[in-house]
Amino acid sequence: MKCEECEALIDEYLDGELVRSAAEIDAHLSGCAKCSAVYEEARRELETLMRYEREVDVTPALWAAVEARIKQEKPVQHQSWLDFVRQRLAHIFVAPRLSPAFAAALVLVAIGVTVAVTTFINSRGGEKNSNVVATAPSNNTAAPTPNAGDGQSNTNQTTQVQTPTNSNQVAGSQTVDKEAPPVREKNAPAIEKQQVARANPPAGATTADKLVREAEQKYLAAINLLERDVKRTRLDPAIRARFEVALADINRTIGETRKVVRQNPGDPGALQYLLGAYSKKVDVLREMSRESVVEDQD
Amino acid sequence: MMEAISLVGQPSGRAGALMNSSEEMIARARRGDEDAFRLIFERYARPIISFIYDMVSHRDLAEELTQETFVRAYKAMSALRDDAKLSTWLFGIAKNVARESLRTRHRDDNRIELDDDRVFEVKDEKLPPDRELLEKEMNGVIREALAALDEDKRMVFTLKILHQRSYEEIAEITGFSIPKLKTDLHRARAEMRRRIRPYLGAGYEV
Repeated sequence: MKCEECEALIDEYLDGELVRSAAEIDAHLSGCAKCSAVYEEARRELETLMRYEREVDVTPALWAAVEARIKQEKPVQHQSWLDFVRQRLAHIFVAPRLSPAFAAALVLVAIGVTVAVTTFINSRGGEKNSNVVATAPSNNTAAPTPNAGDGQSNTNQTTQVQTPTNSNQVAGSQTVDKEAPPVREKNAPAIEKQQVARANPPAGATTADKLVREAEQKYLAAINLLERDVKRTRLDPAIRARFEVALADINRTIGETRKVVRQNPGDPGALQYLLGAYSKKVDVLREMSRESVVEDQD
Repeated sequence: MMEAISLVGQPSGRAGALMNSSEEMIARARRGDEDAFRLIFERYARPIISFIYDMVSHRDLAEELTQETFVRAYKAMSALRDDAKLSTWLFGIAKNVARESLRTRHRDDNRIELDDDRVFEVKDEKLPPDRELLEKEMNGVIREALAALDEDKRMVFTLKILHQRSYEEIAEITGFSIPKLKTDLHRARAEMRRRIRPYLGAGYEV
């Protein structure tokens, strides 16, 4: 090995990054005073740098500040079912991107959640499932086309959703009201009243199962749109890889809980878990959108 | 693994004892377990705040940005899988937080002004080589030299030399290609040498 070659590699050698040439450099250094001196100086500098002490410290106050903020972000595990859905929807509607596809996704998700909530209420009530079957198709026809081009698009579309039937009041109120709060609880008794009025009793379990499947389809359509939206964005490859792994994890969970729900269609807990997993997927896709917005600013 | 974690302000004994592995710690943190997240904080807060301080050179700002880093990490925990990548992932978030801060602060040449709490003058690079410097003064020299680097070089230099990251890890954290980071590192080293070498004369104890 020549001196020029050795000198050029000294820094990498010190960094421990050399694999093939390390032994050659050892050999050269043991026989070359000039390169040894270069090595020695580089080593001293490195040692000096590694003794660098900064004027910062991790204090209890730092953790206290982090803790105070994360408490506000605390996930929904201990909340009631309705609070859980409410928070998920409020979360979803604070969207960083209001592309037409995203807006359409929001509406579809809202429709899907409506169906799921009414299903849950039905499965609790037992025999009062009647007009929810009627509700689902009318929700389908009311689904608007994703044509709007601006940030107000989701509001415009939900206006269309609201007009057709009474039952769409639930979907409408979900999508317009960003807080998505007590409206839902008020609508629950309203739905039950409609159910009593139209008294048509089908088999509870089959209907609930069908409705869950429809809700799933809505969620999946929404997720599809979100995924396409995210694919178009710029995202740090390392960060994207992390998200892809998280999504794979969630997909597995979705697959497993879907089986459980199909086997136990009347089980509100399983339903909650499944919809939670879908919602989590939406969250992850949203987070990807958020991260890519940040990347764009770089 | 658990021995490496600071015992200061440790979460409740039961929670700590149950976390037998990093995977479990991360899994729990992902579900919003604050005790688990606190363990992550205790393990990584120091390297993260050090890295951010290397980038922004202001103590208060470094604390604020470290806080922001961990809050973002908490919110994005579901994107994480295993312990081997936790550190790299956290550094990636810290990198973004630091860069955002640097870009919102109006500076020339991406260089940074330092706090005024250093008393001694270190701008003169023609110091006599036999002057003996205390460790404390050398810290100031290094800090100023880092601040004088442009952002990309400063980032690569601090990750490689001060945080001992591999090229692959640095590439993951920064998003730079390995050829670019090697080039930046080489130039950063040359600049740092130029600034530090005058203080490494015969008088400086190593």
